[in-house]
Amino acid sequence: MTELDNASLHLYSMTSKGVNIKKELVKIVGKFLNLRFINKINKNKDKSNPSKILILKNINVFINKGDRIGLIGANGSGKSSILKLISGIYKPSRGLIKGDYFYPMIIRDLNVSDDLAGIDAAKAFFYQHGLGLLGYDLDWFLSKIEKTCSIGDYFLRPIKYYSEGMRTRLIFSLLTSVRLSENLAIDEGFGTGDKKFALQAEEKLKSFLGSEGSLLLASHSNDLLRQFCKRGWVMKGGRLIFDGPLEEAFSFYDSDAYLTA
Amino acid sequence: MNKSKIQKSNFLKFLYQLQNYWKLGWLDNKARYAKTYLGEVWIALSVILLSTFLGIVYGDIFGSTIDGDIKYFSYLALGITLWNCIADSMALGSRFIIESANQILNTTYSLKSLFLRKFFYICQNLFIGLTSILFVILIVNKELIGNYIQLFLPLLVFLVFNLLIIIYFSLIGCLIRDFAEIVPLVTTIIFLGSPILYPASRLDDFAWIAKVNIPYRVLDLVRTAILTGEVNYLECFFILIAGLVLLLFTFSYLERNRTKIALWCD
Repeated sequence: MTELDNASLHLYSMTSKGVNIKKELVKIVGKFLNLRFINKINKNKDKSNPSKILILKNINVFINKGDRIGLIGANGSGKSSILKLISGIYKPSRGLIKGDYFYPMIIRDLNVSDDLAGIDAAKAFFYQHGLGLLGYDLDWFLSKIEKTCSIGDYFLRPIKYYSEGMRTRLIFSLLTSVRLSENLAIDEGFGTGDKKFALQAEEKLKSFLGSEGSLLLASHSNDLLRQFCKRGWVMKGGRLIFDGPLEEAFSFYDSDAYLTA
Repeated sequence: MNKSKIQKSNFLKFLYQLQNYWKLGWLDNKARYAKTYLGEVWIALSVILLSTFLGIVYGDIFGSTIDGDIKYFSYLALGITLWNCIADSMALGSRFIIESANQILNTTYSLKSLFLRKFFYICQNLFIGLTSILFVILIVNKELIGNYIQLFLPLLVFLVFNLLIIIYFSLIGCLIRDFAEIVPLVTTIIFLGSPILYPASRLDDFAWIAKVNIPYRVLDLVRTAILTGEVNYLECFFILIAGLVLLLFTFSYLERNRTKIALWCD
């Protein structure tokens, strides 16, 4: 079980945090020479450039074992941020997260250069996650990935020659190869594979989650959300404005209530 | 069975993780030379070629031997190999968090794992370069072989120093966007201003330059150990402990502020 208890997330606007030597020099010179116009510009810039941005506001939810939750909302509503918060990538600036973290399936990156082969990406995954320490054997792992990603000889060829679909297959195979957590947080699904892969991925994901695993899936595709989810969260402006059955969440998202919320 | 429970002490687990980061670093090296015919051989070849070429040119100016029987080539080759490592640490470090922001913001990989991967990548370059140079030095200065045994502690200090450079340069590079642009200039100035190409004894009135130059002093610990066999064990031990304590504190701080640090670069 996972609980977000009044969790808020602030991110820093780095345009004001990051130091630009040129700007700093202008500031210092302005102050030193008491140049009013430079000081005035600096003052106005600071005002118009807040360092803290509120991304998620007072989120209160329970996620029970086996919950499959679809995240619905417009771009910038906070879907990805809540996935990162619940995965432990972000830490709440206020409030708490209690219980188990989710494993993030957010990155679409293979953690190695495109000049290396798929087998190297699989090795990198194995080493990065310390799978040997969990008792897994490297050769077994590599042959499993080769088999499940079904890209044939390309597994031994540089990744730069892969199509987008092949890359997706390899990433999906890696992420679902070993159960690193029972709970998964997925951003936008794995939509670029062919139809056969989509069916395989669906089956694989369902078996991977089992009956106990929880899923948090952010997507703009209602069909994808219907495939996996029963519960829906609607996000708007960093707030969770609806939590209920998925179909009701879709209706809410399309209703006037969403616009006025 | 593909999976067996492994019971290991925390120390063994730590060593195992280090081994993993080492292998990740090796994948980065493999990627760097993936398009070449000679592959990682270039690491050794480039320092030997550079040292030979500069050795011929500057050897004519500074003489073929320095401070007694030490061949100028040995002095120069070690200086260049070690300096390359420091310069790489500075350059890679200054851009590191900015270039890794995607991984930091989208995965739960620890910052420590990302830093150590890059650090081992640099270590591998150093080890290959240094081994090949030490082999060549055996040909031109075979009497130095007895000093090689003194290398361990100064080299350890040198490596810890490089890891600290990567970490602190990455943090500065994250806070000051212009820093990565300044670093190549700074490394060139330090390189040309330090007695790396020329013998330290030539500095005369400017000997203070070498004294205040921390990267050079750490470099010189290793070089002196090989060329003269002199190692100040107390000094090395003290620097090593201080470096390791600083590393522990830094890693602990980094993990606690992982997200903030990554967002500074976003």
